[in-house]
Amino acid sequence: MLAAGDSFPDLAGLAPALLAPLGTALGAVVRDGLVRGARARLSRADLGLAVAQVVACFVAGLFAGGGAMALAFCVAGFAGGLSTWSSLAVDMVGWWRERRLGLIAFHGAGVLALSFAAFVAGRALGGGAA
Amino acid sequence: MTALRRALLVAAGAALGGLFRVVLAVFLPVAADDPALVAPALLVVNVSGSLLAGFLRGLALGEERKGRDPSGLEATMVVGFCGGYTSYSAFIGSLYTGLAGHLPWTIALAAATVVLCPIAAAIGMRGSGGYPPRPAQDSAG
Repeated sequence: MLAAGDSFPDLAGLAPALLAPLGTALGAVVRDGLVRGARARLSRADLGLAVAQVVACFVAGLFAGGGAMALAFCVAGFAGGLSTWSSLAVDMVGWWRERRLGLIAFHGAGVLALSFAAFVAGRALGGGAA
Repeated sequence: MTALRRALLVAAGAALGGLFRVVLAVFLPVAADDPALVAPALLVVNVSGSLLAGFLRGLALGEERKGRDPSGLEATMVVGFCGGYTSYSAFIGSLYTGLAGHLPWTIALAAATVVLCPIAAAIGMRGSGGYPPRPAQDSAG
Protein backbone atom coordinates (compact mmCIF):
# COMPACT_ATOMS: atom_id res chain seq x y z
CA MET A 1 0.00 0.00 0.00
CA LEU A 2 1.20 3.48 -0.81
CA ALA A 3 2.11 5.66 2.13
CA ALA A 4 1.76 9.42 2.29
CA GLY A 5 4.41 11.02 0.14
CA ASP A 6 4.96 7.94 -2.01
CA SER A 7 4.55 8.37 -5.75
CA PHE A 8 2.32 6.16 -7.82
CA PRO A 9 4.08 3.54 -9.94
CA ASP A 10 4.57 4.40 -13.60
CA LEU A 11 1.46 2.72 -15.00
CA ALA A 12 2.20 4.04 -18.50
CA GLY A 13 5.21 1.72 -18.56
CA LEU A 14 2.91 -1.26 -18.03
CA ALA A 15 0.72 -0.46 -21.02
CA PRO A 16 2.77 -2.39 -23.62
CA ALA A 17 2.86 -5.42 -21.32
CA LEU A 18 -0.93 -5.33 -21.09
CA LEU A 19 -1.49 -4.63 -24.78
CA ALA A 20 0.44 -7.70 -25.96
CA PRO A 21 -1.90 -10.27 -24.32
CA LEU A 22 -4.91 -8.28 -25.52
CA GLY A 23 -3.64 -8.31 -29.10
CA THR A 24 -2.72 -11.99 -28.81
CA ALA A 25 -6.26 -12.83 -27.72
CA LEU A 26 -7.74 -10.95 -30.66
CA GLY A 27 -5.31 -12.55 -33.13
CA ALA A 28 -6.02 -16.06 -31.82
CA VAL A 29 -9.78 -15.59 -32.16
CA VAL A 30 -9.31 -14.41 -35.78
CA ARG A 31 -7.01 -17.41 -36.47
CA ASP A 32 -9.55 -19.82 -35.03
CA GLY A 33 -12.23 -18.23 -37.23
CA LEU A 34 -10.06 -18.54 -40.34
CA VAL A 35 -9.20 -22.19 -39.62
CA ARG A 36 -12.77 -23.17 -38.82
CA GLY A 37 -14.09 -21.22 -41.81
CA ALA A 38 -11.65 -22.89 -44.19
CA ARG A 39 -12.51 -26.29 -42.70
CA ALA A 40 -16.25 -25.68 -43.12
CA ARG A 41 -16.18 -24.09 -46.58
CA LEU A 42 -13.18 -25.71 -48.27
CA SER A 43 -12.61 -28.83 -46.17
CA ARG A 44 -9.03 -27.54 -45.90
CA ALA A 45 -8.35 -26.25 -42.39
CA ASP A 46 -4.66 -25.96 -43.27
CA LEU A 47 -5.44 -23.24 -45.84
CA GLY A 48 -7.02 -21.13 -43.11
CA LEU A 49 -3.89 -21.59 -41.03
CA ALA A 50 -1.67 -20.67 -44.01
CA VAL A 51 -3.64 -17.46 -44.61
CA ALA A 52 -3.37 -16.61 -40.90
CA GLN A 53 0.42 -17.12 -40.93
CA VAL A 54 1.00 -15.00 -44.05
CA VAL A 55 -1.31 -12.16 -42.93
CA ALA A 56 0.28 -12.18 -39.47
CA CYS A 57 3.75 -11.83 -40.98
CA PHE A 58 2.56 -8.94 -43.17
CA VAL A 59 1.08 -7.19 -40.11
CA ALA A 60 4.26 -7.84 -38.12
CA GLY A 61 6.37 -6.32 -40.88
CA LEU A 62 4.01 -3.38 -41.30
CA PHE A 63 4.24 -2.34 -37.65
CA ALA A 64 7.78 -3.55 -36.90
CA GLY A 65 9.11 -0.02 -37.14
CA GLY A 66 6.35 1.46 -35.01
CA GLY A 67 6.30 2.77 -31.46
CA ALA A 68 6.12 0.78 -28.25
CA MET A 69 2.32 0.54 -28.31
CA ALA A 70 2.19 -0.63 -31.95
CA LEU A 71 4.95 -3.14 -31.30
CA ALA A 72 3.17 -4.50 -28.25
CA PHE A 73 -0.39 -4.67 -29.61
CA CYS A 74 0.15 -5.31 -33.34
CA VAL A 75 3.48 -7.16 -33.56
CA ALA A 76 3.96 -9.09 -30.29
CA GLY A 77 0.20 -9.24 -29.71
CA PHE A 78 -2.09 -9.49 -32.73
CA ALA A 79 0.42 -10.95 -35.22
CA GLY A 80 1.83 -13.26 -32.55
CA GLY A 81 -1.63 -14.60 -31.74
CA LEU A 82 -2.80 -14.77 -35.36
CA SER A 83 0.18 -16.95 -36.25
CA THR A 84 1.23 -20.12 -34.48
CA TRP A 85 3.87 -22.81 -34.52
CA SER A 86 2.18 -25.28 -32.20
CA SER A 87 -0.90 -25.99 -34.33
CA LEU A 88 1.26 -26.28 -37.44
CA ALA A 89 3.60 -28.70 -35.65
CA VAL A 90 0.71 -30.87 -34.46
CA ASP A 91 -0.80 -30.88 -37.96
CA MET A 92 2.57 -31.83 -39.45
CA VAL A 93 2.63 -34.93 -37.25
CA GLY A 94 -0.75 -35.97 -38.65
CA TRP A 95 0.35 -35.29 -42.23
CA TRP A 96 3.51 -37.31 -41.65
CA ARG A 97 1.45 -40.23 -40.40
CA GLU A 98 -0.79 -39.94 -43.48
CA ARG A 99 2.24 -39.61 -45.74
CA ARG A 100 0.89 -36.31 -47.09
CA LEU A 101 4.38 -35.04 -47.83
CA GLY A 102 3.12 -32.41 -50.27
CA LEU A 103 1.29 -30.67 -47.42
CA ILE A 104 4.42 -30.76 -45.27
CA ALA A 105 6.46 -29.24 -48.11
CA PHE A 106 3.75 -26.64 -48.79
CA HIS A 107 3.70 -25.45 -45.18
CA GLY A 108 7.33 -26.13 -44.30
CA ALA A 109 8.75 -24.33 -47.35
CA GLY A 110 6.02 -22.63 -49.44
CA VAL A 111 4.13 -20.88 -46.65
CA LEU A 112 7.43 -20.06 -44.96
CA ALA A 113 8.69 -18.34 -48.13
CA LEU A 114 5.37 -16.54 -48.61
CA SER A 115 5.38 -15.43 -44.99
CA PHE A 116 8.91 -14.09 -45.28
CA ALA A 117 7.94 -12.20 -48.45
CA ALA A 118 4.85 -10.83 -46.66
CA PHE A 119 7.01 -9.64 -43.76
CA VAL A 120 9.41 -7.89 -46.17
CA ALA A 121 6.46 -6.32 -48.03
CA GLY A 122 4.99 -5.13 -44.75
CA ARG A 123 8.32 -3.61 -43.74
CA ALA A 124 8.53 -1.80 -47.07
CA LEU A 125 4.96 -0.48 -46.84
CA GLY A 126 5.39 0.45 -43.20
CA GLY A 127 8.42 2.54 -44.00
CA GLY A 128 10.98 0.19 -42.47
CA ALA A 129 14.17 -0.83 -44.22
CA ALA A 130 13.41 -3.87 -46.35
CA MET B 1 -20.33 -25.05 -27.56
CA THR B 2 -21.50 -21.68 -28.85
CA ALA B 3 -19.25 -19.57 -31.07
CA LEU B 4 -19.12 -16.84 -28.41
CA ARG B 5 -18.11 -19.27 -25.66
CA ARG B 6 -15.43 -20.77 -27.90
CA ALA B 7 -14.12 -17.29 -28.80
CA LEU B 8 -13.93 -16.35 -25.10
CA LEU B 9 -12.07 -19.56 -24.22
CA VAL B 10 -9.62 -19.09 -27.11
CA ALA B 11 -9.08 -15.44 -26.14
CA ALA B 12 -8.49 -16.25 -22.47
CA GLY B 13 -5.98 -18.99 -23.24
CA ALA B 14 -4.23 -16.90 -25.89
CA ALA B 15 -3.90 -13.87 -23.61
CA LEU B 16 -2.11 -16.01 -21.02
CA GLY B 17 0.04 -17.74 -23.65
CA GLY B 18 0.93 -14.41 -25.23
CA LEU B 19 1.95 -13.02 -21.86
CA PHE B 20 4.26 -16.01 -21.26
CA ARG B 21 5.80 -15.59 -24.75
CA VAL B 22 6.42 -11.88 -24.30
CA VAL B 23 8.01 -12.44 -20.88
CA LEU B 24 10.28 -15.24 -22.12
CA ALA B 25 11.18 -13.99 -25.59
CA VAL B 26 11.08 -10.22 -25.11
CA PHE B 27 11.40 -9.15 -21.48
CA LEU B 28 14.08 -11.66 -20.43
CA PRO B 29 16.48 -10.81 -23.31
CA VAL B 30 15.86 -7.11 -22.61
CA ALA B 31 16.50 -7.66 -18.91
CA ALA B 32 19.71 -9.52 -19.76
CA ASP B 33 20.61 -6.62 -22.07
CA ASP B 34 21.35 -9.08 -24.87
CA PRO B 35 19.12 -8.80 -27.98
CA ALA B 36 20.89 -11.84 -29.45
CA LEU B 37 18.98 -13.95 -26.91
CA VAL B 38 15.64 -13.21 -28.58
CA ALA B 39 16.01 -15.81 -31.36
CA PRO B 40 17.12 -18.74 -29.14
CA ALA B 41 14.47 -17.77 -26.55
CA LEU B 42 11.87 -17.87 -29.32
CA LEU B 43 13.14 -21.30 -30.37
CA VAL B 44 12.62 -22.53 -26.80
CA VAL B 45 9.14 -20.99 -26.73
CA ASN B 46 8.08 -22.53 -30.05
CA VAL B 47 9.48 -25.98 -29.30
CA SER B 48 8.08 -26.13 -25.75
CA GLY B 49 4.72 -24.84 -27.00
CA SER B 50 4.65 -27.53 -29.68
CA LEU B 51 5.48 -30.18 -27.09
CA LEU B 52 2.63 -29.00 -24.86
CA ALA B 53 0.22 -28.71 -27.81
CA GLY B 54 1.05 -32.26 -28.88
CA PHE B 55 0.50 -33.53 -25.35
CA LEU B 56 -2.82 -31.71 -25.02
CA ARG B 57 -3.99 -32.77 -28.49
CA GLY B 58 -3.25 -36.34 -27.47
CA LEU B 59 -5.29 -35.87 -24.28
CA ALA B 60 -8.14 -34.44 -26.35
CA LEU B 61 -8.06 -37.40 -28.73
CA GLY B 62 -8.16 -39.71 -25.70
CA GLU B 63 -11.22 -37.89 -24.36
CA GLU B 64 -12.90 -38.22 -27.76
CA ARG B 65 -12.25 -41.96 -27.75
CA LYS B 66 -13.96 -42.16 -24.36
CA GLY B 67 -17.00 -40.38 -25.81
CA ARG B 68 -16.31 -37.11 -23.97
CA ASP B 69 -16.29 -33.67 -25.58
CA PRO B 70 -12.78 -32.14 -25.48
CA SER B 71 -13.72 -28.92 -27.28
CA GLY B 72 -13.29 -26.78 -24.15
CA LEU B 73 -9.78 -28.13 -23.54
CA GLU B 74 -8.87 -27.72 -27.21
CA ALA B 75 -10.21 -24.16 -27.46
CA THR B 76 -8.61 -22.92 -24.24
CA MET B 77 -5.31 -24.74 -24.20
CA VAL B 78 -4.43 -25.94 -27.72
CA VAL B 79 -5.86 -23.19 -29.94
CA GLY B 80 -5.69 -20.49 -27.25
CA PHE B 81 -2.77 -20.96 -24.87
CA CYS B 82 -0.36 -22.89 -27.11
CA GLY B 83 -1.39 -20.89 -30.19
CA GLY B 84 -0.80 -17.62 -28.36
CA TYR B 85 2.37 -18.83 -26.67
CA THR B 86 4.05 -19.89 -29.92
CA SER B 87 4.42 -17.48 -32.81
CA TYR B 88 5.18 -17.94 -36.48
CA SER B 89 5.38 -14.22 -37.22
CA ALA B 90 7.97 -13.66 -34.49
CA PHE B 91 9.94 -16.57 -35.97
CA ILE B 92 9.83 -14.95 -39.43
CA GLY B 93 10.72 -11.58 -37.88
CA SER B 94 13.75 -13.08 -36.16
CA LEU B 95 14.80 -14.65 -39.49
CA TYR B 96 14.54 -11.25 -41.18
CA THR B 97 16.60 -9.60 -38.47
CA GLY B 98 19.12 -12.41 -38.29
CA LEU B 99 19.73 -12.66 -42.03
CA ALA B 100 21.15 -9.15 -41.97
CA GLY B 101 23.69 -10.20 -39.35
CA HIS B 102 24.67 -13.72 -38.38
CA LEU B 103 23.67 -15.77 -41.43
CA PRO B 104 24.86 -19.28 -40.39
CA TRP B 105 23.44 -18.87 -36.86
CA THR B 106 20.10 -17.68 -38.29
CA ILE B 107 19.86 -20.57 -40.75
CA ALA B 108 20.71 -23.03 -37.97
CA LEU B 109 18.00 -21.59 -35.71
CA ALA B 110 15.45 -21.65 -38.55
CA ALA B 111 16.26 -25.25 -39.43
CA ALA B 112 16.12 -26.21 -35.76
CA THR B 113 12.68 -24.63 -35.41
CA VAL B 114 11.26 -26.29 -38.53
CA VAL B 115 12.59 -29.71 -37.50
CA LEU B 116 12.23 -29.61 -33.71
CA CYS B 117 8.68 -28.23 -33.45
CA PRO B 118 7.01 -31.20 -35.22
CA ILE B 119 9.28 -33.66 -33.38
CA ALA B 120 8.33 -32.04 -30.06
CA ALA B 121 4.64 -32.24 -30.99
CA ALA B 122 5.03 -35.93 -31.86
CA ILE B 123 6.78 -36.59 -28.53
CA GLY B 124 3.98 -34.78 -26.71
CA MET B 125 1.31 -36.79 -28.51
CA ARG B 126 3.11 -40.03 -27.69
CA GLY B 127 3.41 -38.91 -24.07
CA SER B 128 -0.34 -38.58 -23.71
CA GLY B 129 -1.15 -41.67 -25.78
CA GLY B 130 -2.58 -39.63 -28.61
CA TYR B 131 -0.10 -40.28 -31.40
CA PRO B 132 -2.36 -40.37 -34.43
CA PRO B 133 -3.12 -43.74 -35.98
CA ARG B 134 -2.74 -43.94 -39.73
CA PRO B 135 -4.75 -42.34 -41.31
CA ALA B 136 -4.96 -39.39 -38.86
CA GLN B 137 -7.74 -36.85 -38.54
CA ASP B 138 -7.33 -33.39 -40.06
CA SER B 139 -6.56 -31.29 -37.02
CA ALA B 140 -5.42 -27.83 -38.11
CA GLY B 141 -6.20 -25.05 -35.70
